[in-house]
Amino acid sequence: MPEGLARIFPLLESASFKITSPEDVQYNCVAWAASPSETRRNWWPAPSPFYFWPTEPREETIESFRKAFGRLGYASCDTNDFEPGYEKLAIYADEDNVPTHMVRQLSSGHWTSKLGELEDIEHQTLEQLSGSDYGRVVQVLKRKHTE
Amino acid sequence: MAELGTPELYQTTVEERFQTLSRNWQEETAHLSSFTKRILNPHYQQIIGIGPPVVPLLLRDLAREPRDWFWALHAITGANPVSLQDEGDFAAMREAWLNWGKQRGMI
Repeated sequence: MPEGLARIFPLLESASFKITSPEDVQYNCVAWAASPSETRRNWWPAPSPFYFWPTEPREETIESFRKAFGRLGYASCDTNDFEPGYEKLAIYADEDNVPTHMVRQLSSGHWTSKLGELEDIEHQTLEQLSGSDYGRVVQVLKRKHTE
Repeated sequence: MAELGTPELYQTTVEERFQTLSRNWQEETAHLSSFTKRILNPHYQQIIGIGPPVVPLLLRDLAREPRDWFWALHAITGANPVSLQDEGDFAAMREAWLNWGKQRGMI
């Protein structure tokens, strides 16, 4: 495995994972969580035009993320367990509850993450990215499958 | 008695300093998506602190490959050549900044 990822994510090897894309600065984790077709812009509640964000105000809060993804049909959810017929997202936050990262659940029940401007990875559990700069999962969202 | 050394800042050229800071910033933040954590990284802040002399270096680096130098360029120059419809689109933002630099003979 790339030694760099092991250094950044100390729990990554605690379950299976694989790299699924090359590095790409053109999109980030939030864009990738929003849609697998969102690979042309970076999403973050930052001042415009530096990053894209679909709602106002642009604040680095869980509520701001809930609101943005609420526009895409997602609502809060109690469990990250896979539920047939639903799409799930998870939001990580640091010790101050400031969002740091987002992941999207795949139909396998595994998760897909875009690691900043690095690669996409597919990983088995949410805990694999915990204990790093990403902090821990603080919010799970779900919507009915749209396809 | 030990002589006082020349501050590191003056022992290197702006370009050498920029390359070191850029490399360190990349290593520490490439895995992050948070705009705030990326731009508040001390290495990024030190690049901004170099001021106008670093602008041609940022633009030349941007010409070589897409990099997230947009906030630094804006912070130093006060300019913002990116249209709202291109927000977050680093390819379009890169092109807008490179055109801005070319119009001013910086690259």
